[in-house]
Amino acid sequence: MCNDSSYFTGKLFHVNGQSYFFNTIPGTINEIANNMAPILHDHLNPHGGCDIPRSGSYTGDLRPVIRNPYTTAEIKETLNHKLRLLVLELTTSCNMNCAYCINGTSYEQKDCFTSTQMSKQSAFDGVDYLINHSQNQSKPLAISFYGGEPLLRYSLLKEITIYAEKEASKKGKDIFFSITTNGTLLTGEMIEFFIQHSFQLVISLDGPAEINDRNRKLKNGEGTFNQIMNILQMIKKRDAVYFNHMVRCSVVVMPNADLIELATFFNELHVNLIVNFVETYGLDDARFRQKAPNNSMDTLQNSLIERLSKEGISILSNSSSGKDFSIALLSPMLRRFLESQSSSRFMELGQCIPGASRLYLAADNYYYPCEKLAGHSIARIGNIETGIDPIKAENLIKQFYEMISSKCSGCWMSSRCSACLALTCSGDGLDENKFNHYCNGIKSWGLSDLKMISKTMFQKCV
Amino acid sequence: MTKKTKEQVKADLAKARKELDKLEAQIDDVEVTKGAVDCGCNNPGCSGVEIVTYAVAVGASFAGGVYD
Repeated sequence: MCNDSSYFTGKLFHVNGQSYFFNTIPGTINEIANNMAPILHDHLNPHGGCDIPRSGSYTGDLRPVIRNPYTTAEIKETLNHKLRLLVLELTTSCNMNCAYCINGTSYEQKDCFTSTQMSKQSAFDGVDYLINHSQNQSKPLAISFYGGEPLLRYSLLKEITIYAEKEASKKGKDIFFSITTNGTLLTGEMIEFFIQHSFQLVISLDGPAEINDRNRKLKNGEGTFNQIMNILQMIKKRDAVYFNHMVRCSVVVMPNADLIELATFFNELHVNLIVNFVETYGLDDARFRQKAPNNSMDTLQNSLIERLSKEGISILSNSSSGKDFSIALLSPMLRRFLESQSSSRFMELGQCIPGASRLYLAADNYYYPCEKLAGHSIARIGNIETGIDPIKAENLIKQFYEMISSKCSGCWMSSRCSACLALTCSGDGLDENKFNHYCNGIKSWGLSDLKMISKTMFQKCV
Repeated sequence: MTKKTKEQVKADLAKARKELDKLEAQIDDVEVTKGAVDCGCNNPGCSGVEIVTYAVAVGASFAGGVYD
């Protein structure tokens, strides 16, 4: 007899007539006999997965439980002594007017660019705060420059860099820098400075001219493709090693994009990539949600499967994988599944201690957990005068887990889901609709990846 | 397709027990880790990309023998 209150959870799915079971807690994918499928199907749960009753001889429920993993003492210790990355919003101004910009007019909240500027004093105070609250952080510290367009404040950026290097050195700490920029204001002098100070340089480029210039426009309506390509060439010519290792292009992909065209373009450009689909939640412009009936995603996936089966999963992490468009686009979730095949780890949701993974100092002098939460009053965890308030940070975590624990406990994707506050906060509260939108997307993406991995592992390799 | 009775569901489950036990056994010794210590997101414009030094990046590539 089975125990009526003890179960384990997974997801039943099918590829080319073959049935598979994704076992949620260990993260393993199992080929199962097709006559097992209807039996598992009898035990569907509300999340679209299966809760399988355990044998009578075992006790204890093995369904995934989602709860706040952090203690008050741990939060306090982390925020007081283990900070690592400070993101400085030097300005909220930008010289561009990109159609999909989260601060632009296409979003419902219409939190359009204002022109708040970070003062030199606030920036230096932020640097001091990072250095004085990181004594137990074993990794090197980092400062990232963000905006608006941070190069509008280039002279301040230089001063902050030199100040931070000096202050970190006094405490025996290494410190690194990065900048996320639209690239249009980059000059030879700036590039020299970034090379000299080992900056990671993230430049926005969405693809060939007709794709990039559709959305990435200057205030006067002109596209930026030619300018960015010239800049990339200039960096490469100046220092090819720096270009190869420290420069990345941030690519925003529209839901109706021709992915094959993008892959061809970026693979030829051979630059490190950060690729993601445009975040459609909150956009009130229909053109961002239209999925054109093209099969370029299938083509790209199948081509990656071919390569995975021929060359093995090491192609996802070798030295040139960061410059491969299909890997950059498809591997973030894929990696979560593939790594679990060998690591036997159940990773709880992707929520960090707010402020610990990175601390965002906005131009208005408030601290937020990251740039994706800037402007949401619920996510203000402190300010430049008083520093981070650990109680506010803890309350934010508590609210998040109160909202999601019942939604996510028992979900087959919970061990591989990266849901966090950034996908939930809205203004002065948490938004269930926003969370549900993400939830549906991540399950669908996860299932698609499970199918892709199964094809690779079981149907081509064996 | 007719809906199975509770008894039929239990009987089918018992028949499949051996296979299901193999799946259940995979859960033994799984280590539970806490949430994101380092941001693993891949969002455009995300400033949380893992930051390494120029020297480390270049050194790693030489070690792997891939830089030409």
